[in-house]
Amino acid sequence: MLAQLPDLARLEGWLDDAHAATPTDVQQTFEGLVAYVVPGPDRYSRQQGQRSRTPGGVAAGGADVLIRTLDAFIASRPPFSVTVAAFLNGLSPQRRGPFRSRFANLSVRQKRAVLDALVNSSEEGIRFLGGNLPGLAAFACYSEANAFDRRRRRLRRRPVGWRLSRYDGLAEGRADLKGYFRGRRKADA
Amino acid sequence: MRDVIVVGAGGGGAVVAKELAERGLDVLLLEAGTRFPRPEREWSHLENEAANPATGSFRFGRGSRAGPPWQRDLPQYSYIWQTAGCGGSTLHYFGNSPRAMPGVFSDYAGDRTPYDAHRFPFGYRELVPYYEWVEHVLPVQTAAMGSKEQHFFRGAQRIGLAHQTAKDITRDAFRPQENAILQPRGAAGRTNVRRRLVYPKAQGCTFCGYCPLGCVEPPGSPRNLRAKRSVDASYLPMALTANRWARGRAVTLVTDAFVTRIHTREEGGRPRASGVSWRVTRTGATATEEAQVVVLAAGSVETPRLWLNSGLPNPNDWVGRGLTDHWHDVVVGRMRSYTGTSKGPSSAARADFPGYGSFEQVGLPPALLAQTLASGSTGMVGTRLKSYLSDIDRLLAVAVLTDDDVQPDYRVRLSQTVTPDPHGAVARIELPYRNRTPRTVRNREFLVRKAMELLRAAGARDVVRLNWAPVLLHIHSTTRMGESESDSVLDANAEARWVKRLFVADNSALANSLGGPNPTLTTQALATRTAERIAALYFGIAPWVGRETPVSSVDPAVTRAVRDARI
Repeated sequence: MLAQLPDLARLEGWLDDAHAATPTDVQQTFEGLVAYVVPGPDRYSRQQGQRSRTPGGVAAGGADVLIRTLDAFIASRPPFSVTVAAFLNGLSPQRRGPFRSRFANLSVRQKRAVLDALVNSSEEGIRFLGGNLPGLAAFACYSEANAFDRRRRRLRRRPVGWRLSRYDGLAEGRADLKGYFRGRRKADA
Repeated sequence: MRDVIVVGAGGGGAVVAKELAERGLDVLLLEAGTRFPRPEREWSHLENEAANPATGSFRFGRGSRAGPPWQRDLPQYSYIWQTAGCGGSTLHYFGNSPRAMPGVFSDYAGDRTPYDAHRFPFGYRELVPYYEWVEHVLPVQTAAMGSKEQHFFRGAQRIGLAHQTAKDITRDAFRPQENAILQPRGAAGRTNVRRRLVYPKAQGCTFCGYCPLGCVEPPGSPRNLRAKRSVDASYLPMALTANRWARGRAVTLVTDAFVTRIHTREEGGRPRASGVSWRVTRTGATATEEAQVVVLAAGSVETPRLWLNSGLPNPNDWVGRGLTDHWHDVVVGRMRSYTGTSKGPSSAARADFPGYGSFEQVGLPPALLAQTLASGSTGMVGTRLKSYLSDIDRLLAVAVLTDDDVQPDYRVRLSQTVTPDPHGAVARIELPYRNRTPRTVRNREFLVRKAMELLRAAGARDVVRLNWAPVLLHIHSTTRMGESESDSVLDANAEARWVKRLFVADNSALANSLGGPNPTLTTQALATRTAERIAALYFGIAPWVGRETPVSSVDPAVTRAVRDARI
């Protein structure tokens, strides 16, 4: 199903743009997406008209994680993230802005309309993709992925998402045992 | 020729394998995923490492994490979380082990009107000894409380719910979960200092908060004494050492073996299962073995896929149909006080409403919680998401488990649009979620209202309903057993109606959505009953449940066997 998305993008004429897209275009598209899901003080958040004083998805490296995840999810040519960026940009109206990616130049309201259009698409694969993108982006932004050194299996720094959520971080256990409700350790037979 | 081949080493397959191996049968257990022999090194408490759907260790794909995951065809906005590997989806489950609602069984004497008409073809009372057997083997224990459970219970009491103290569900009530999680002992739950948590200083649940990422706690514990009783820590070690702790025969486990075909031959004018073929996922080589009996336990998506790819009979067209999924929803409250929602067992409190379903408190680490909050038609994004997640340990989340109806158009079939993979046509999961029955819709709305009421009573500043799109965590009844031959695939023994010696022992065998309770315990009780039926029907072995005392997976004899076998 997802493997057929490049064909759909080609039908719409978006895949030519996708093939011509530079890594920067794709990166900007996903920076625009993670800024939409988790805004920060970055230029993508400013452009969409919703920002936040604390770091957001851009600072968390959410775009890199999302691109890696999409490219690993399905083996395709061009890489799957390029096709997904083609859909996001292909459905985006023109709006003035500093980015080559159309999607990254949109307002929050316009970005939501693009994602809604994906969810309500008549094409099955697009519905699946559009529905899951915000959740996957949120997962990417609040995870450790961009702060983790996989080779050494250790964190290089405290992940942005952990700071944002005041998460205590890794531990083998927690001191939160409060006993048993009404002292009952066993259900009746 | 083997006595029995079991396809799938997940929550149901490992149970059948252990029970039959304990009786001395020659059992071959085939698993498409990997074994995870050293989970301390192979798993991680880091969420992207474990739960990324494309690259995480708990993805549905090859265990080496090389190449893309195995594909499914999901033609709608939905998300499915299943794991390939020994343990299957019990690797990431929460260990919640409630019994089913009695009203979904054939012997229910009360008002049947509130329940799905697609009942189990036998009585609840008949299943109780099998529940008791599994509850002893795993074992299932009453969950301890943390801060989030204290909040949940406070809310439940304030809205006037009764406290349920028994295992059987008889009325609207709340309670601590009956969990397949060992109760904390020693330093467990009392410290976050690692050296104090090393086994045996700490035993049972350490309150780490990583149930969905796989349980390796307490550090240094033998595999069969891990806190969460996924089958990789309970039934599977027992199956692999059945010659050591019992007078049985150790199961032969072959991993990275994706079964692609069930073979049959004619016997008395009817087809009977005769063996299976599989593909070695690491090399692409193929293999075939014959058996007296074949048991399908590949999960509620892969079992009907394998059935259909094998060209097995499907005269009433119900193979794959009738999928139930508890039509989950999530309700989240922001509390004024500390809840510790990122800590402790992922779900340790619940409420059940016969005729409607259940809901349970849910705690998650930040990335999975962010994904939860951002999913659904009213999912949160932007500054609202940031605001909600600005202090994870002041949130309180409740997951709704709807008693949803068996409907024929909710189904698994073979995809005509996705290119087949090396294991055959891939599964297409169709969920026309705007077509739910009025009863299912009513049940979900009732449970959401109750959950919101509870959160407000527990002290929430505000409460949000996410109205989740179908997130498939509980998937059942896709090769359902049933009372009627016209709308079921299995008979009351869980044997295929049209293929002798072919049984199903995973969630797909369930007749319905159990009235709402989490499915694993019932699947395991049913798998135990199925193992007994196989032993009696085809090997002349007398039933044992109710006649013998089960050996617990935490019994010292099992621990010795696991240590001796270096499992």
